[in-house]
Amino acid sequence: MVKRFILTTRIKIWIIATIIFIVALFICISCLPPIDRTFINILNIVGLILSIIGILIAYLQILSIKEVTLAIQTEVKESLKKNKSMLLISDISKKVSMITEIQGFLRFNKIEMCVLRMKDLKLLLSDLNSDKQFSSLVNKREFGSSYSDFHIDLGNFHKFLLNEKNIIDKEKINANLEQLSTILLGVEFKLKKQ
Amino acid sequence: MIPERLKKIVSLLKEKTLTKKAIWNKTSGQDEYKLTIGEGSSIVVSENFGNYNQEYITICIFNSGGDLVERYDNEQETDDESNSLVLSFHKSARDAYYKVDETMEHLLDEISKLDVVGKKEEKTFDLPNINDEEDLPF
Repeated sequence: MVKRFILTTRIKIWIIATIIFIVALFICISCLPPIDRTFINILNIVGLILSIIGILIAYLQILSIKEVTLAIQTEVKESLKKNKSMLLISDISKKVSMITEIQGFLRFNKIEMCVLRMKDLKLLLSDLNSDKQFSSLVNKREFGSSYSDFHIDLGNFHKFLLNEKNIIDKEKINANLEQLSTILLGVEFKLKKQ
Repeated sequence: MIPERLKKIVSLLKEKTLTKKAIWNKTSGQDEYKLTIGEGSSIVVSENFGNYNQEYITICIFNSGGDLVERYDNEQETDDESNSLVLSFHKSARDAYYKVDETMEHLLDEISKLDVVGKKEEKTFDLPNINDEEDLPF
């Protein structure tokens, strides 16, 4: 796109310069009295017109370079945004698979493993929570509620490990994890659609 | 001693709960209740057992982003006023969630209205239909 833009601008400049040169030369020669239409005078006029056109071309080229730079900047920004989206998608997929893993550990009553994986996930979710792109795609209230439930569940696992009298509702924890997974998958879907 | 700002929040919420103006939800903890306020900030109150089976109350506050911003427990609390405040706060949350007052009032109303209360509960078992012609799997 940028290459085609440069070519069209160059062709435009050359066409405009040629037209200006012909028109200016014609006007200048026709304005000269017939007695002054000597070879030296015409050569001077041609030189003057070419100098003015040269200055104009230089100015137009500076303008076109500015435009190209802006176009390149926009494209770089676009590609960076796309890269970030791709990274975010892979990050979200990782988190969803971690949630599935935790649910598996919970099913087999491996609470210590649940705690370890939830601690890893907590760090990743914390990063995600501060990501601007993620924040723009998620329902903040919904995610906030799910994230606080995640903290509560992790705290309850710790309490259970300290004393088994602190009974935990595994069904509720499973439902909370499922809710978090649904929110993350929703964001992933929105990112893929972009 | 319970921090002054948390004390104010707890007192206000307790008052709201006692006047049935607070909606509590249950969390994954056995005796833990959560109340969400405004844009998603929440307060969680729970009763837990410590290492030596001692019971204590924990109060946690989460911001709208879901991060824990304040935590207090009365495990090592020596101030009687703080202890009684958090205990009564937890009790009010539990009573509100299980609708204890409404249940008690309903029971009182029913008992005073009826001459005879209670009914014999007869348990019936539905036996599965066994077809003699079907082959047994062993």
